[in-house]
Amino acid sequence: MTTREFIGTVSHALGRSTPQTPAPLVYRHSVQVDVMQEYSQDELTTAFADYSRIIGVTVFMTTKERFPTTLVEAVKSCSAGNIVLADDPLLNELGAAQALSDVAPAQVWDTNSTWEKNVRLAENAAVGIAVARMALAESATVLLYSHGGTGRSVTLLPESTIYIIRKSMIRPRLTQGMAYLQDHQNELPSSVNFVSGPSATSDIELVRVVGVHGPMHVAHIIVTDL
Amino acid sequence: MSIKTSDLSFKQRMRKNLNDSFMRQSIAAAQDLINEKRQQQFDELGDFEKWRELAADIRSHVLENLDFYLEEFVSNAEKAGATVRFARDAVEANAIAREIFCKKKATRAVKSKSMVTEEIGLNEALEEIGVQILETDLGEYLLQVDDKDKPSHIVIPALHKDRKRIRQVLADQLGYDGDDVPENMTKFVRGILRQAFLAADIAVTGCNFAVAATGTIALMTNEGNGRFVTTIPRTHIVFMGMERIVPSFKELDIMFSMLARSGVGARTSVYMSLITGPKASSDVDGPEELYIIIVDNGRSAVLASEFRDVLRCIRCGACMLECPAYRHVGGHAYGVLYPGPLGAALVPLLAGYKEYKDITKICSLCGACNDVCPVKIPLYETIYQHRRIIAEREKLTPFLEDAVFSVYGSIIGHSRLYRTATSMAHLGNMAPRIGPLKKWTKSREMPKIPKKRFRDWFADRENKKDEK
Amino acid sequence: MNVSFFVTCIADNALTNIGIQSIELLEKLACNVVFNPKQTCCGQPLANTGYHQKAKKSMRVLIDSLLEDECDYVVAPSGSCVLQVKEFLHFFRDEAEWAEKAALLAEKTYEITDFIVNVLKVTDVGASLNGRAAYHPSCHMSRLLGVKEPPILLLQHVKGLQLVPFKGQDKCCGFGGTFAVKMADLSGAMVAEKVQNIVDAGVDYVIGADGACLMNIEGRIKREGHNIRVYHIVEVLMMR
Ligand code: SF4
Repeated sequence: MTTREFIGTVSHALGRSTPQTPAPLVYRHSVQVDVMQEYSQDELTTAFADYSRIIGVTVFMTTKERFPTTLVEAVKSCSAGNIVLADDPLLNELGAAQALSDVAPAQVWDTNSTWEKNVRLAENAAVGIAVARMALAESATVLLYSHGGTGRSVTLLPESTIYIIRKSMIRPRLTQGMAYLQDHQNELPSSVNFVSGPSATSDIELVRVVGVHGPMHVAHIIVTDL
Repeated sequence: MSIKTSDLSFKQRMRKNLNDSFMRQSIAAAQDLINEKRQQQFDELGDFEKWRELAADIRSHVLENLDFYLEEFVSNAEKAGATVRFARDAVEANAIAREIFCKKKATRAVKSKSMVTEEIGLNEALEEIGVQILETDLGEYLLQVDDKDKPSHIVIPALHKDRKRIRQVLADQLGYDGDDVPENMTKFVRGILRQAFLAADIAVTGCNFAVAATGTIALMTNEGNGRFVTTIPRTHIVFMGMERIVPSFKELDIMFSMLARSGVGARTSVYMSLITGPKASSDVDGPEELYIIIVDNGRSAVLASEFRDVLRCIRCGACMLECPAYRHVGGHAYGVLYPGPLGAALVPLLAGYKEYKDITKICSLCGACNDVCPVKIPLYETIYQHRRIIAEREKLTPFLEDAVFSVYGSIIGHSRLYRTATSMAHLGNMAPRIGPLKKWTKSREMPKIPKKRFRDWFADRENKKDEK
Repeated sequence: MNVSFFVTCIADNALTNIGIQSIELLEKLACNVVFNPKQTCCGQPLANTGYHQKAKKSMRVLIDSLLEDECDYVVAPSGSCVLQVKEFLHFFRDEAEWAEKAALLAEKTYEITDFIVNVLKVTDVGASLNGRAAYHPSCHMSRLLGVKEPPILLLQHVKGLQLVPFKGQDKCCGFGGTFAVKMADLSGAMVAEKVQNIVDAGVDYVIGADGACLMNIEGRIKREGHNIRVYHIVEVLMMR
């Protein structure tokens, strides 16, 4: 069936022969933008950190200067083993790889290398480290672009994930996350993820079990002077 | 699977499930737990009515302009590098899927929970050509390994199974030798499915929402299977019910917020993955090819009908969790993929009144579903209208019932007849307990019909007044 | 104030005390009540089962009989039947004359507690009854007609009465008209749970505002042999 035939059937069901430009969609309410509107950046940060803890995420607050020490601390809170780092300019700037050199074998996702090597790297790692574009206070969610140096596997295959979050990029809720995507929709990567804590299920007798397919443990490092 | 999930008769299904006390207990417990959580979530969010008005407005707007938005979606998805295909019905959809599997010489597939693939019976269609397709949602997987047991809820498919049964299945089918603690059984399945993910040739997913402005597919999961299947396999096939569209990310915000809260009573699902085209050349992992199969399968007829609103559904499952009838008979009694009020409203439309008329009876018309539906579908009104169509337009009700109701209609349609008939109603106190009386008195006593009706009392009183 | 009383078929023929107490209550609240004996039934059993055409005859009879006396209001002791009367106009979409009459009737028809609280502006009718009571808010009345507060307000003013919340309070009792016989076992399971929850709440009475639901709940209570009295709210409001 061709596009035209299919769309034609739909138009027909709607009582016309071809699609017509819709009248604008009017929002009767603005409830979504009202959430946490009056919060200061500090309040948003607290809300984000508090809800992160509620959903089982370990939270670290640090500064650029103290970042290397905090990162080591965070890694130690995770499952022991190899580490895979996203290839992200901020991690370089903060000296992530150097900080970890004495802690555990840490390797960076390598866009110049093969699929097999990279995926194996992530599969064999216990901890994946990546940088969030934005974080959402209401649901302790991080917005992650999974592309280029931040391969999809980095934050999925290892048992633990550490997300680095710029305090200045903590926003109230999904509304702001979606607005960000809309503003940048011309350079949208093929995979964008909103992640809120560890992988979970309630499929057996509604008992919440953490860690089904994705990471069992998640840490948020909030860098307050970024 | 297909829309129909059981070969038992309606009566048999009702009896079997009403007698399944474990199932009834677990459904009741699930309803109580999730409904309370959902209530908390919406109380905390505030303005539930406004939120759902927004959500309903968005869905209505999309449906009214579905041709336009579909066209926009298709063009943007193609721009992003996806291949878009169209299927009028289940047969066409499955044929397209088989064609892709053959072309790729693929034999192993992993699937993340998707209602539309169940609707079209994709698993069976692929198994016929020798493809092994594994469900990766834990609940769905547990059903699949239990000799393809059927889901009893659209969000929590294995709701009717307890841990003992699950342990037994894992032991019998997969050699599990651990205990029945959910953590341990989950860990065991995690190990198996991880290998399957890594070995799979093709990933199959549904699509919670599709963003017209960017050609993006939105997938929500808590377990992470939605991310897994879009990370490792080299080919990704999306099955999308044609009405899943939202215009832009702005609307996705509202819809996602409602779906997560309504579905499981959480602020958000753990993951929402937004997939726009296959991986870029600068990306290492992710599928190289992305197919999107847009499925009609009866939807355009619903769109054209007086029941268009039913297509607003976002498959959250709240209506069934709120339904007092579903509470006692569970999902299997419906014998269809979509149980509860949604099923009673949607299935006769998608698959015909003739075969599915009976499910509209599993409803006391209490209206509770209307109050929780996040997109304000008039479920009560829809079921009510279905009954009219079944009785009057399709004439599918039993002859005897029709005759009895004709008589009844004549009696209450004439004042004098009614007066005469009701003056004798008390004689019914002595009537043998057969027919409707027998049915009623199986679970409860009959009220005693007094000889003196209210109208007799009133007339007496008026007469006495006059005498004075 | 002139009120035309719509007794409903259940209160006319089975639970007659509901009709009697309604009249006494309305008169006590200074209404002039008329009862037009031409009235029959609102046709719900037919309409809810799908037989809309068969139900229309009785709708016409009811419309005419309730409008005949040209009262200011029509009042009934059942939210469900009032809801049905308010829906009549949808059945006569293609019959302008009847649609108009149905609209007029819809406008002046009230469920009795709604009428007392929102038209007569009375919340304390001077009733008293000692004990603990479970109030069952019938689905049609509370959810679809939207009458939630009035019965509660009235009961809160009954001296000596303690309203006890209970599990599943707002859930359907399983009556559902012909549902109770067409799906008798399911309906039976629903009312059994309802009664279990009422029993667990440790109450002396169950009070409701819809005779049909009360007949269902009482039937189950009697079957199980519990010592709980079932009252329609008008009966309670007439207790001294
Ligand atoms: S009908 Fe409404 S409540 Fe039911 S599943 Fe669909 S969206 Fe959810």
